[in-house]
Amino acid sequence: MNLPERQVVIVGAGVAGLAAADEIARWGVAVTMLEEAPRTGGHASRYSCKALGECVACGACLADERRRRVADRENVTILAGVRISTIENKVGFNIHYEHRNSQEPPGGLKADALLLTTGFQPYDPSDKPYGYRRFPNVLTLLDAEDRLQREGVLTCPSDGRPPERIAFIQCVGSRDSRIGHPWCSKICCGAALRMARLVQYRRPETVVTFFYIDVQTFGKNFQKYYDQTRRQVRMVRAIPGDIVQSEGQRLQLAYFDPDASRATEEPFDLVILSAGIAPNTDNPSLADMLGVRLNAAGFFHPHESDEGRKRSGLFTAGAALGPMSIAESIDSAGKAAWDIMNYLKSNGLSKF
Amino acid sequence: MTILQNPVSFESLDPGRSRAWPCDQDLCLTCANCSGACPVAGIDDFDPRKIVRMVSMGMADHVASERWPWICTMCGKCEQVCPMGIAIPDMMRRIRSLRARDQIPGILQSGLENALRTGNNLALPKEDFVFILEDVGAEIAEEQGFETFTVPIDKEGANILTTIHNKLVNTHTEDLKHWWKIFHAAGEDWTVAADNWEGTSWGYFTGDDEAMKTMAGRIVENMRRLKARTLLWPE
Repeated sequence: MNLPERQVVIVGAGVAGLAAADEIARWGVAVTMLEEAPRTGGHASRYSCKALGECVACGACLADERRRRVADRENVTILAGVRISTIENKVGFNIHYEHRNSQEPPGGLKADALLLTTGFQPYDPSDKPYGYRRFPNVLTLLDAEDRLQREGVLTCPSDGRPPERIAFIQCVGSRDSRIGHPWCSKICCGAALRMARLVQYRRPETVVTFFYIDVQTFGKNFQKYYDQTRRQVRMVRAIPGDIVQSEGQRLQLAYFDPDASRATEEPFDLVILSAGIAPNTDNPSLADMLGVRLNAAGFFHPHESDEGRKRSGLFTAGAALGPMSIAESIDSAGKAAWDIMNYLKSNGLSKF
Repeated sequence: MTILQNPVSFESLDPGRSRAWPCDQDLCLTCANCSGACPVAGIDDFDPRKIVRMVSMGMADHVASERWPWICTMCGKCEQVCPMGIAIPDMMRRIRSLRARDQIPGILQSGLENALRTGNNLALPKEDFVFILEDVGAEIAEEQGFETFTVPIDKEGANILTTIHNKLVNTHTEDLKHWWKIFHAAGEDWTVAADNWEGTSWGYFTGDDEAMKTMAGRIVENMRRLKARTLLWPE
């Protein structure tokens, strides 16, 4: 394929954006990526490898690999730390952007096709009765990933010591109609269980309790992994009612123990909340600039859908469409890259 | 996990009736936030999650035959934390309504029957009620600064009509004085009805909507009869 005069602009340089850029650039088309954060990789790059001696298919390395590959592509330009100010959509797209933290003048570029890979916003559980942002040893799973990546081991923020007893709480801000998030965030069960297993693998004396509703993870070999996990991790099928902090930063969890049929309070050193996947808060303004509608949850419609097809040359991939794992985001980006190439080849006359 | 001793046959389940209740119990995701937040969970195996699921599956009669619905304090914390907004206290009231009236625990039903028959839970005769109010009023008038105090019973056109909790004319007459002294000091224009003065409506606790309607209707009637502008219902 030879389309040297064409340019694709990708909004968001997380794993989906990077995977799409890699594919499109491989086919010889110039790509410019606009990323609001100072670096590429998005949320996916915050997860580290969860191998327990052997690979557990967490997908963290796939995200790293896409980052490295894109960095080596000469026909990919990355503009990080920028924010889109306007988009005009007549024939192709005219995009204007500003630099967030520098005095550089605003810039503009043209795109024959525009791909939105704006990812997600992690739910902020401050309003839940778990003391998030008030008790130092209550973290979200992504907070815990950041600590793990920075320090190599998971420690308590209050004293830097490794926790003896860790609780994981699932579905915080997911499957929650009250806050308008009725969806399952899909990735948390697997991500939290892999984190639990890794912590135990590195420090076997750690006691891990996993509070859940039902484990919603699928995929090849997951059943085998889950069967092993249930022998190592104490699984409690109940979401705790609240957390209070006692002396010495210990966290008291109140929950209903379904085995004993008893209201229970139990101390933990560290609590990790599986905060759900919420739509990117920039989605409404982007949708407004492009004249497209978001779905009821606030995510973008797939470009293949009736709603998504209303803007010729506009494509969507990754968690901008809804909760997705790293592997799913890469698949979704591959499909979008293929659709974009077909669109460019047909000179804008294809169904997209 | 609590396992039912006797397996339940599908034929015995009747979800149709409870499905018509406007409590949304069928939306339950079984997260147990309700049970984790409940102040009385665990007493005699009381478990809001289990009860919601049993009702959803058509086992409301089974739940009604247990002590559970009467352990619930109707505090509503379960509904506050429920991610699906299930109206668990409303559901609990509906389960209570399924219990035969002579099987309702404690004095709730006899008190309610007294109220429906006589206008108050104690079946206190009108002359005794009026005597108690005037007696308490006379005690207040002996205090410095309250020499002119009298109890305005059945006064027409007052700003406030206040209901009375039956315990205030039974074991807690001293507590009447706090309200009344505030009214007096504030120069408030207030009154108490001599009939149907009961503010406590035990139909709320027994799941008896008809009784609640009757009790509330009598208060409305007192407001009309006495042409009061504001209702004070200190429950």
